Amino acid sequence: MTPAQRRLALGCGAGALVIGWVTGVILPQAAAVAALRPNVRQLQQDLRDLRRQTAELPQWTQRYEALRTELQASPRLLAQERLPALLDQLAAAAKAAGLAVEMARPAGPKTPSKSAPNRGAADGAALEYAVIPLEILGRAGYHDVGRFVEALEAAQPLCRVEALSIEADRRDPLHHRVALVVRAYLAVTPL
Amino acid sequence: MILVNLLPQGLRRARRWSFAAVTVRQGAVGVVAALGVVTIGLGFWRVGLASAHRRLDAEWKGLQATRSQVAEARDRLQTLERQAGQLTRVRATSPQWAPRLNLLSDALVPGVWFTRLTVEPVEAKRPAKASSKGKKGRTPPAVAADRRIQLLVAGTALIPDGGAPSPLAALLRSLKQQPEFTRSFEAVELKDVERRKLGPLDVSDFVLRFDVREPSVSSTR
Repeated sequence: MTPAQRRLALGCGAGALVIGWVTGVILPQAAAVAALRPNVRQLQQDLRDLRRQTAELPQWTQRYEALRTELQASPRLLAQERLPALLDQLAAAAKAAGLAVEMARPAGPKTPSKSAPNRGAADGAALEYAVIPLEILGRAGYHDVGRFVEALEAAQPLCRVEALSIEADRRDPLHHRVALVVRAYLAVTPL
Repeated sequence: MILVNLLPQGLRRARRWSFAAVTVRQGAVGVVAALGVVTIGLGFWRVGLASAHRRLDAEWKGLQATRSQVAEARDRLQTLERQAGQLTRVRATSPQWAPRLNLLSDALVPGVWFTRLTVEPVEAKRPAKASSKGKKGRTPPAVAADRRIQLLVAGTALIPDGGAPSPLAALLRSLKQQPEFTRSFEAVELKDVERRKLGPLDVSDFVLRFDVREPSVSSTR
């Protein structure tokens, strides 16, 4: 073998050794490091977030309790049980306004939604409050109805007049037949 | 020309390093050393990362109870906050009838009386479609529908003798003069006017239709 050939063989051997080292040792190491790094970073971030959230937990609880009191929210299962109190509240408002209630009862929704008849919904996105329609029949003067509707619209829980009918009665011109459909919106907690 | 450097060896400027001066053996040693440093560095880095990963993972798993507690508290708060927002929107968007009833009673003029007043939601009113030019086959985005509510007021008005102004016209004028009218109603239409005798008086029965628009909850977001 001539010296030139020997140099060529040595060079090729050294090159192959370097390539083998890089591909067999360095690249797998680098791949392992690249795979581990984002996981470690993610874990560090998650732990940081968790520590921050744990520190905020008392504030969250405070805010939750404040909102629950403000909205008079109760567990979903108890939403229907609030109905008697709600009817009492409406009857008291009616009495104060001068509306003589003949009947107040839960009413079926006028346009029932197939998916969730007693739940607020818009654009397919389910809303999280319970809607209870109530029907109120009574007799009152026009201004008494106005006062009652005003009290109703300022009431807590939120109530809105869905339908209203005031019909004059020839036998009693001062007291009209009144029919109202009211929607009461009750906030419910997940529990 | 031959230049002769007469400076002593110690005072001469060092010759600049040249790649050509590097021998094959020196090059090989350098490459092997560099590869070794990279390999060792990567190895240390990998071991450090693996150990950190194990430690953080153990810590993360150890905080399982705290995590579920935090997640539950966050979900509960988010639910109530969502509800509060939705109820606020319902409060803001759904029409209030007390001021409208007041407006009607304030606008009433002598010679007109109402016999029936009905409020009923009519139908969902879809907003006008956007131009469909060049948009064949593209599904339009789901748009919330505003609700149209009708207030129908049936009543009776006296028909005055001679050229006296009509109380019905005075009622419509009085309604439209109310500052709240345009804010309360979208439109008012007089329909089904029917003349009849009421004892010795000439009267006309009429129906006034007021339109009220209730924006959808989602369109106000």
